[in-house]
Amino acid sequence: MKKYDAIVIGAGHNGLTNAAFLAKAGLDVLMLEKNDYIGGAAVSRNLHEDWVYSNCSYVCSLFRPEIYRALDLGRHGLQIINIGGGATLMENGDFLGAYEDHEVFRREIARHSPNDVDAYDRFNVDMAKWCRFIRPFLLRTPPDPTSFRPRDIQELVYLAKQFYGLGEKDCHDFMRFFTISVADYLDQYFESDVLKAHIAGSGIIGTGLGPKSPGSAYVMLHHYMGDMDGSVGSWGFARGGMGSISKALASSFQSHGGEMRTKAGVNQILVKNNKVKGVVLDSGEEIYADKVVSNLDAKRTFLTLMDPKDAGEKVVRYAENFKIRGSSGKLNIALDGPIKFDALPENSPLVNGFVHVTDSMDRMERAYDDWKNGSWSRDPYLDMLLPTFADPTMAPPGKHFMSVFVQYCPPHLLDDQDQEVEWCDNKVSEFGDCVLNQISKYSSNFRDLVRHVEVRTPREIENEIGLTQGNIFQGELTLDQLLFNRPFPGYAQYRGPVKGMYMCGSSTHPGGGVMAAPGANAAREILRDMKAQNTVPLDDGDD
Amino acid sequence: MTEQQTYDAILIGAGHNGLICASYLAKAGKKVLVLEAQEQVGGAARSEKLNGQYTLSPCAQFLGPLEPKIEKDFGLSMNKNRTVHDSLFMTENADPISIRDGNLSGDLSAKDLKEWPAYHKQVCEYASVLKVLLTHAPIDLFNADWEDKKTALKLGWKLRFGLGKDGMREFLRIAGMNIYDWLDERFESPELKGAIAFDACLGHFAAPRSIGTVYTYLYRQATTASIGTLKGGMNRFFTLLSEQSKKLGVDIQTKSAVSNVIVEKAKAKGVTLVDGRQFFAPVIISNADPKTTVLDIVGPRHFEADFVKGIDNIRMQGTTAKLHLLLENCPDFNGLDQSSLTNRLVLTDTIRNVERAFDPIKYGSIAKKPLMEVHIPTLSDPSLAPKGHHILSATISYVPYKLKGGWHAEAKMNLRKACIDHLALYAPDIHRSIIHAELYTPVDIEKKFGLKGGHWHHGEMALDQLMMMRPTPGAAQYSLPLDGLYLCGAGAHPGGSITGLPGKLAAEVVLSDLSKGELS
Repeated sequence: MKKYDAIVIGAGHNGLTNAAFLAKAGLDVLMLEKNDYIGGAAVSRNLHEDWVYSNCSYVCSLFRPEIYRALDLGRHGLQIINIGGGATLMENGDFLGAYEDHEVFRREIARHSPNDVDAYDRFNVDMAKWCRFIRPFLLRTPPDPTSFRPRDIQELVYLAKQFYGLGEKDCHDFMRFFTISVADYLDQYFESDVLKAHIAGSGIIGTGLGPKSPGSAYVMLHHYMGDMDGSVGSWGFARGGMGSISKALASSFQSHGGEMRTKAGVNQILVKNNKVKGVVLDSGEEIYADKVVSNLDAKRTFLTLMDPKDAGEKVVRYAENFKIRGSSGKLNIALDGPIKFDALPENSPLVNGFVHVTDSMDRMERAYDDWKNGSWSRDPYLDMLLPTFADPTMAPPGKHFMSVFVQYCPPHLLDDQDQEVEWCDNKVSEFGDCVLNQISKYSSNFRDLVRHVEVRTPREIENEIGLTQGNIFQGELTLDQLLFNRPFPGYAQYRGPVKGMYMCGSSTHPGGGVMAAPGANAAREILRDMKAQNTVPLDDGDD
Repeated sequence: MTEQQTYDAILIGAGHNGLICASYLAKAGKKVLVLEAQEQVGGAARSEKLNGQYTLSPCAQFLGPLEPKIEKDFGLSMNKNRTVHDSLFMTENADPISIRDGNLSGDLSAKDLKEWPAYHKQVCEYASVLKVLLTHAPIDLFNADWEDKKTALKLGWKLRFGLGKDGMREFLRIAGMNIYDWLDERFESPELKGAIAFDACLGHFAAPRSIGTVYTYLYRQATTASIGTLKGGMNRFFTLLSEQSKKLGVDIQTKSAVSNVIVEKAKAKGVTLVDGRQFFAPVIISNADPKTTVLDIVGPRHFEADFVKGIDNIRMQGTTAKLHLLLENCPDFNGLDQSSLTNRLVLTDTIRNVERAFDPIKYGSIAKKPLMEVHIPTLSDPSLAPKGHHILSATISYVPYKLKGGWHAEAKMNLRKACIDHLALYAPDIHRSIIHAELYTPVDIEKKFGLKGGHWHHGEMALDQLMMMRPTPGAAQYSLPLDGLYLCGAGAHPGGSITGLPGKLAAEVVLSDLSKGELS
């Protein structure tokens, strides 16, 4: 019977990254994927005629450049196209254009609020500072603050040194950043509501927090990290859709001799004597390996893949309490021609970027209130993107693909008695209509252009790619689930509760986004345990 | 008229922290002057007469156990004289839940009743760890002296060895969490969760889902674990406290409002009163909130612009109003006998509805159904009102400081009516007993007590405004960046409630600075 060195469960981008680094180190690795396509949420699919949909994740922002280089993804066909522009459309018919040209953007801000022009520069400098500070930690394993092992103490000392290196003022400012709300944070800089709303969107995307919820400033920082990187990491489209990232990773993995099987859903992780033995597939087939790595979220990994007896009472309890909230929906739309937003001038370059429709902090917060009360937002925050302006390969000539990310959309609906009700198809299409209406308010030619719409609530996302509640980060990015608490206290170093079992998904540090860092970090820990040569790079500080 | 007199230290404001700070300084042999703008001492914790014959506490109505060390240092014997009240949490549609001495009872599921003792034990353990932080000055990360290092060691020890490895891990996980999620992990009953969440959020600009509410709950447990009142009203505390401080030589002058601090050569030298009198001392300590102190009393021009910006950015919008009803007889509450009426009665709701009650204040409006904490002090202390009459004092949660359209007479009337109507759901005949109703909105509290934003705690107790960030980085060790100027109120570490700790800790810092001869 063949025995692999390692089995990686789930061919999302983190699983692929993990597998690729292990294969690169010379291990015999098997990658298992339940769907008949790879990529998990980093996927492009042909869902309507000749249109290619990036139907889950839609932008490549946080991807670590070190990983891109180490796995030679350029040679494996990954091409990143820079995203420029973006706008927030306003209810009164005006707009705020986020022009790529800095001087032009300053003029545009001045049109709304002269005082905010310099504040915006100051804000950018500060954000760049935090991003630079936090970046090196993305590719490191969090230390355990309760441990006395030299390695943990060393790492804690390293962190403390870095922290002190910020200096007194920045140190305190940084500490505040983790627990303040994005609204309060932006209030310290800006007056203009529309500018605040434009920026604050990144504090709520994918998370069960409102812009006025303490903790949302960190979510903004998490999103900004990509923005601040240099060439590769900056906000960009993967040419051919998000699936191109997965394809390049898979190609890199296979070039190092890795073996890939799709339509091979794992039913259970086999454990014997507190040590991993292999996996059982849904088909009943057993495959053996010394190491089993789960790219599934922490809830799924410990509550479905593992026998509760193997996981242990403590881990099961942690997994049950792990917060992985569905808060987002998505519409993928095939358009017959270029959409025209009524507020924007003819042929405006702004449509190449993210177009939003929430122009005030209160509107954004009210959208969150709707979600808290168990319904989709009646006035939803939309993050619209038309990658086909920059990448025509995704649709037939002259046609467009439009990705509409919707915040907020609840995992369950609540009835009048506050009882949870499951989604049904009627409700899903009501939700879709609400979003289409919202877009129509800002674009008079939109309705006529719509050819096909795919509506995705947390239910659809969960059922298809197995993300619990469709949470894009595989777990909320709140303080109790970050760093050494991610996913659980005592299990933040990628190792599971039994020997030979590991986690490599976004449920682990540093969290979600198409970043590939969790997969890489987990690979480093596995290679360390095997005393094999490390193939995983650290942050090289190269902007 | 100018009058000159020299003291070792001048305290601005005779709230409880100011008096405690003054007493510690006097105890150490310093000559201290306390200046209070009002006729009586006590600040937001004082009690006062209404209509001549009713004694009520306009703002703070309960007294937690006073820090034993402070009690002992001044022989206050306050804890002995405190009447402790149990809490009864009531909702419209479910049976009341009672928390008595840390014991839970009510019509709850077996699972919840079984979980409670373990939960309560854990809360007490965590509160005792927190206490280490609360009873020491915040650690100065960048200029740590021996005291700071000692505090850090004590805390580290208590975390790692007091709680153990798993306990420490759990503490680090929950410390930054919201109470909604934490309670969700432990309990089933939405009413029980609502009751605990009410306490966690009371007085804060925070809802159950706001992170930091586990902290505020633990803080409450660490400072106000049991809720009590004093016979004769809160002023009894202040009478005792001022007697003690006068004995120690503290000079307390009421009706002496400070107009500004005299600054010479970048040093605080003294104060000028509104009536023109001047007093001089090398140490000026303000019991006022940090915004009032820096922006109004001292003036921004004496500080770096960056620091002033930080002070300006402190979030301190009060979220509570007070309603006082003078009643000609004791109201009947549905299903409650006279003896349980002496409890602290909390009119709350399911945890989702507590969250919903918060939502409107984000937009400057008020929830239709107010959440309230009600107490009838005259049941345990009839001396507070004429014979047979009663006082009902209620704290109303989630009332905005910045009401859309402003707090004009009609808005106040509407809120008063909404509150009384809500009370009438529980005590149907209450309308008929009311002789007089008095409502203080956050704006009234601001005016009445000189408290910016009408915020109980002199600044939101959010995680980013605590410890070495309270009130702002650069002023967290009680000394402001102006030689000779200090803070000793709830705006400083550890924060609000009647603990006396900010006053005590400020006095320690002042004494240590004085002994180093840094101030002359």
